[in-house]
Amino acid sequence: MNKLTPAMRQYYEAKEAYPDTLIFFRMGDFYESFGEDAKTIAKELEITLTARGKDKSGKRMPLAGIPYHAIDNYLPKLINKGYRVAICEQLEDPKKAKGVVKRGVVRVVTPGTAIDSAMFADASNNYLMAVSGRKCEKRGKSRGKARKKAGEEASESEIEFGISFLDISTGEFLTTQFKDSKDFEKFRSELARMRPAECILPPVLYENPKIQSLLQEQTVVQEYAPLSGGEKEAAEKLKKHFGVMTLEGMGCENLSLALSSAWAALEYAKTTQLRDLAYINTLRTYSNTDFMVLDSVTLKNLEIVKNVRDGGDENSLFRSLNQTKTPMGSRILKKWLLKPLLSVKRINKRLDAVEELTENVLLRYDLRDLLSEVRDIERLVSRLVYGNSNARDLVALKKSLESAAPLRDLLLKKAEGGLLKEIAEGLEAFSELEKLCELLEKGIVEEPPLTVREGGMIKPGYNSELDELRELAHNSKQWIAAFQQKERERTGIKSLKVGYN
Amino acid sequence: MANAERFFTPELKEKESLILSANERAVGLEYALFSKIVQTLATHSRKLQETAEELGTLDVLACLAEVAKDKNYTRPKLSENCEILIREGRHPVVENSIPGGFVPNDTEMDCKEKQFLLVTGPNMAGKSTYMRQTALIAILAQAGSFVPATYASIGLVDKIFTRIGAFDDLASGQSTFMVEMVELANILNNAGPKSLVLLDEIGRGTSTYDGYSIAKAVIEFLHNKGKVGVRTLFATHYHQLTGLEESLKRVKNCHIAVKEEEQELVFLRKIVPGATDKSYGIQVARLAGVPEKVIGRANEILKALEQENLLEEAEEENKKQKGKRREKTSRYTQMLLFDPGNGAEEIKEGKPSPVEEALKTLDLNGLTPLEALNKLYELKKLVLEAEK
Repeated sequence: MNKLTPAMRQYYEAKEAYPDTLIFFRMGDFYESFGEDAKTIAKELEITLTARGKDKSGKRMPLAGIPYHAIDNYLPKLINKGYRVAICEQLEDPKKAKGVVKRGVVRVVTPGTAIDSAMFADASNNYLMAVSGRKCEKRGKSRGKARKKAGEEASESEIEFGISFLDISTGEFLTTQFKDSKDFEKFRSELARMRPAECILPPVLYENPKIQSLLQEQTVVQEYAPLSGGEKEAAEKLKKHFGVMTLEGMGCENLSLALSSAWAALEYAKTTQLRDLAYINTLRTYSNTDFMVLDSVTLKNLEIVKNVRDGGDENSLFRSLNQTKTPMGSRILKKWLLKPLLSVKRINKRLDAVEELTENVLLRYDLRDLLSEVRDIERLVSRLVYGNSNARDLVALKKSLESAAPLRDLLLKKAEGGLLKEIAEGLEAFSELEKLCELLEKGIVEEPPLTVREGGMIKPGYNSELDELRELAHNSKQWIAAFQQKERERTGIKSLKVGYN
Repeated sequence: MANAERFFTPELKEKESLILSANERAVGLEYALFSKIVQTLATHSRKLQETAEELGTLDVLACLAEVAKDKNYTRPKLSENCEILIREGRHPVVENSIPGGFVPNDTEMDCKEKQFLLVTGPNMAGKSTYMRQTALIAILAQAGSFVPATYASIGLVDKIFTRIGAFDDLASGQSTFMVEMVELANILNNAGPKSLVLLDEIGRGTSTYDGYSIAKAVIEFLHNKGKVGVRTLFATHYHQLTGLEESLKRVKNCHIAVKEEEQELVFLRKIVPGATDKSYGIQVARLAGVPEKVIGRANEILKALEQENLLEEAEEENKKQKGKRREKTSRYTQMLLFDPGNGAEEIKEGKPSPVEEALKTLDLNGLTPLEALNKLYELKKLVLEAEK
């Protein structure tokens, strides 16, 4: 190890801290990968594999690299194939660094915790799934008759699951807890509906061959248990994260398995993102008895969101209905089709609103017109809080919010009641809406650059100090001319010249 | 500057550095201001996310209204009873590809007389489109959407199960029949009185007799499950099954009408009450372009078979002792586990074979479908080893 260059030592440290993970190691304008990683990356990304320097054992070291600006093209390809990638950045300016540049892993990208917009082919959700479970003895009462007949139930047990789904790109966080039959009917139904990109399991479930094979078919499976164990602790940690005294308001106070899985999901997301994820600010508890059971076979056969031919959405029920104007709408429509309701009252509430909009043609037309200006607010806000948004995101957010106010006013004036009125009231409760629009309108130029480190984002008139600096930079020649004139007059020397080096 | 003196004043020096760094400082300040704005927005993230959801919901409602108007959907009625009544229902996706040409159909189900619809009719006539459209209309209704029909009343459906033959996963290497049976087991175990089950050509993956027997047993099981039965749409080409309408009180026959015009088959795609007595398989083969020579020969064979009346014979045998039937019909069945016509005799004479031993101790009630499959593989392995 001593013979290694300092940079390679850093590389091996990163590799050791993140085993089973590809390392993207920033060296100047490239993300380099070494050794086995390099071979994998070269093969998967179809890039050249070279060799340089020496590895630990003194052999030539395989090497493959991608230009840093092309990471958005290459990274999704690896993630979509189920790889995990740790991004190891230069943590200081190479020009200012003494000796070797400090480097460190800034985030780990996994299929279920990808946040970059380039990672998502469409508007769909990208869920990380976390599961916890325990065996529970079956009560004799419920199946008394069968018990006598078969006589083996005494030892039979069913599993109770806690399952959470977290989409860190939108901040959506869901949890549920339920007992399941021996062939995991409900578990499979949840899996088929949510189609998580990645699933994490504690070792005891990871080693269960039935669960393992169910999951392997549909998603990337990862063994994971948060360092701090117990169910009570999970509740405490979640309360701390959300900044609440009780989880009652979220409906999961007493669902210990649901809480364990929720904590595992959150903790896993934090350890991959290496930040506190404050924007994940609520946990929603749902019950799968609220929804129609649709297993994976049925979803496939009926082509609800995917067709059988190539797995795309062409000729699916979703596609034939999807005339939504916003990515949020598209995601919600998909959820509604995957989770039909079981309450006449709740269904009629939706139908009432749909009926009102079929009848009030003008209202529908105006609403849809305004909605077409609305962008993916959920993802924009996530990027905002996550800290990787640029000024263009803010412009997109501004345009979206500027539509929210007239949508609200239109609904308040025209909507008769029910769900539409509730939406209007929800929008009305956002009292700072106009203020935020104004802030964005005053602060950010209409067409800002992609980068945030090269200026050109802030509107003139927003900040006087900035205006002055810009004036100074742009008008330095004029200032020199004016200064020269002033000095000539002061000294009386006609040939006096002012310049700078 | 030749012939000149150079001076600088403190003001000039200060200004020089100001000018030189102004650009850099402006960029730095911009970033700080940008970050401040981002932070301000971030403190409202919760409200912003709620706004996103509200706008998304509004978007979906407006979209569903737009689709309802566009495609002439109607508002469904929902109820807690188990009636499903659809007038002139259409398949929401298929109708898009044949604008104006889709033939609408009614669906009538309840839990008294029409709980189990036995759909017969030739292949390609539209049995599975019909069954799917019923399920899709129920899903749309309960999702809160209008539905493609002139009238629809849906008694809440708590689970939908389907077993539709067309898409077998050949790539995964499992045999069609295995896949079919695994899925069937799941349905039989989990369907309840509020569920809706679609079964298309159950038993097609195996020999005629096995398939027919499985299909019949499945119908009886679902009809009687939990005493109240399960709402089921069951498509089959075994038209012999239509006799069940007589013995099972909630089974109703219906079929997809076809017209024969001088040996040509015209699909009317209209569902009508009652049973068909023909499967029109050979006519369909003709339509698909199978050579005339083969069609002619098939017709000859069909005639011969009809004279032998094999299936009806099997029906009668069914009522007699089971053992005898097995022997008599075995020459028509495909070898499933072992062929009783050949190896079975040897095994019976000696000690019980390991396979028989294993079967005796096998607890069928305690097996999941997957475990059952695994067991079956093991048994097959034992048989193959015994042959060596």
